[in-house]
Amino acid sequence: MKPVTPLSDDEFAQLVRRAVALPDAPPALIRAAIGQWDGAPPSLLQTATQAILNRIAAALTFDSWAAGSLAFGVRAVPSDTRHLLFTAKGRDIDIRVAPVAGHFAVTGQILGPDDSGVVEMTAAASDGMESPRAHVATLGFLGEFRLTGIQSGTYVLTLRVSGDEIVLPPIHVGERAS
Amino acid sequence: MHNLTDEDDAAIVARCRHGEGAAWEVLVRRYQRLVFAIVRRVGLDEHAAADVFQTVFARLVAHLPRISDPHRLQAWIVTTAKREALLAHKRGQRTVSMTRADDDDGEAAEWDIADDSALPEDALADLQQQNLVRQALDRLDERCRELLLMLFREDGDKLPYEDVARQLGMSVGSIGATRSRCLAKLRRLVEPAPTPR
Repeated sequence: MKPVTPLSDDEFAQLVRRAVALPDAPPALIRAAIGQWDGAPPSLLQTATQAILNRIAAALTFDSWAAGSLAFGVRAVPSDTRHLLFTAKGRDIDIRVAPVAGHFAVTGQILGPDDSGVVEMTAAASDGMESPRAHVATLGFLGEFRLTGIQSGTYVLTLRVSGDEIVLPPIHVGERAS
Repeated sequence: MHNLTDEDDAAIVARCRHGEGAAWEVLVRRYQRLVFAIVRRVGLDEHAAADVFQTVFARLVAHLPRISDPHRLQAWIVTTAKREALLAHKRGQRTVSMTRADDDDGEAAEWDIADDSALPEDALADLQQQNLVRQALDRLDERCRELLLMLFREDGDKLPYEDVARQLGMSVGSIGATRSRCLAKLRRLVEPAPTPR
């Protein structure tokens, strides 16, 4: 596709004029196309998706809330931010869970060969939601991602990168138990 | 508030694979103009155009699980729309010839399309660029979007600045500067952010 970067302001304005003139499809056609979703059972979509990816289970290597007591003489203030590290097939996955404005934010970074991918976070099946809403983010520069507005609960984080589907063990998102 | 329309194709495809119907609606609305423009350009009658439009989205639903690189979704849609539109056009002329049963889905037929002069690559690239700008317009804040949609209407529908100012509750004198600011905002939405290296 043609980039817009080399366009002058006048050329860009002309492009906007042509874009505004691009007609919508008739509403009935749009509604019918949206309605085609009803013929595609989500479970089939997921099954087929998983079939073409190598499914990899990640292993937890560090949990700041489960870390042992500090060495004698070392002081620390308990942090609200939970830091987790996972490893999976040559990749290290760094996750931080922090409370933000009544909800939680999950930020992370994949350290490995991938420069693009998608991160999905869904409530674990045991939370009783049949078709839970997914929180989705794409990997940014340096393999970083951020998911916000997460309610407390137990979640499964899935990373789809370079034909691999990396599934992390369930993560409990919530306040630190006192 | 989080808005699905701000998410890129890869995230929307992931949501679709997860069974989110709202994400599918975003996908349809994001590409309906592009598919419709391609179909219209081939010169199909109303019924054939409607059939092709639905066929493209039906194939997209079926193809979603097999998309290995969702960032190339637009290229897949353009190729499919072009092929289906030309095929329908040829069917109308009763000059279709089928060569082999294999396409990038591995399911449907690939057709020998003799004449695709109605859809040269340059024209398709222009349409994709226009659709990208139109998508960005949809994500622009409401005031800027309304202003640009009014100012960039086709010549026959153009509104005088006085009417634009009255409808948007702004002074005529401020339209020029606001137009420039809104175009700059739109440009930032269209252009990919530079990656620091």
